[in-house]
Amino acid sequence: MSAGFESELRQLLRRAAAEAGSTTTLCRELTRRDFRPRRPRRRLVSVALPIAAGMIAAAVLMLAVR
Amino acid sequence: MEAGRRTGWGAARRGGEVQREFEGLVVAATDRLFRLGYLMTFDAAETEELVQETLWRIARRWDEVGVREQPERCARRTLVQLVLDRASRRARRRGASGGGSGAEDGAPEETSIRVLRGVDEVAEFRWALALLEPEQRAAIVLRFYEEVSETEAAEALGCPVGDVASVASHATVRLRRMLGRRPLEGGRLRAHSTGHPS
Repeated sequence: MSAGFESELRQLLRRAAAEAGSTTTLCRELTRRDFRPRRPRRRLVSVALPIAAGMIAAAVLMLAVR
Repeated sequence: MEAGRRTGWGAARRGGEVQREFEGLVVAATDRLFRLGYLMTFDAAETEELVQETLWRIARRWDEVGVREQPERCARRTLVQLVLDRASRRARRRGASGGGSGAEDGAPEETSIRVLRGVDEVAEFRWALALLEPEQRAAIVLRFYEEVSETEAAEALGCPVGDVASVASHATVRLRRMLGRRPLEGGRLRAHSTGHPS
């Protein structure tokens, strides 16, 4: 019945996966990668500061118009 | 491992315990994740990127992962979800631009694959696998390569447990047809739920 195809499927999957090649390069890359979680301070610099600067600029502009 | 040494976030918290745990995952799971990803994408460069993204996501919530579930299981689920998300984004883009894959357009799959029959068995199989829907391909790889249980496969695919058998079964029928095997005369394919390929 299906058992023959099942085992053929398993075998073909293993052979196809083996064609993926070595992961040595990937492992080397991973050892160089910095997995450190982002610090909130970075978010402060990249998000909060531009918003604050924009608000200040808008306020200055409003004062200048008046 | 050097990556862990560079991060330092584990060492600072629990005397290197977290660091060692994460290093363990990277060492133990990278190869496996890469092969799993490759069988779903057939693109080594894209798979490398996806595995890195997977590990990055796990690293960001390592404490939570370590406490709640097996890290490898979480990594597998994350990778499968990344692959499926990417595939659905591509499909949406293709839909928006009016394009489509051969399979979606109803191209005669068997004809295109028959060219490889008797020439390169693995290439023929890879082609057939690539013509499956992303969910079907993922189900086949999870059930017959990773040999995970239906529950774990459902978790990775983000679908109800009951759907896994049906998706895998439809995919197998399609594969049989594409590979020119005789269709099943009733009965359902079942994958073993234990053990892993070496």
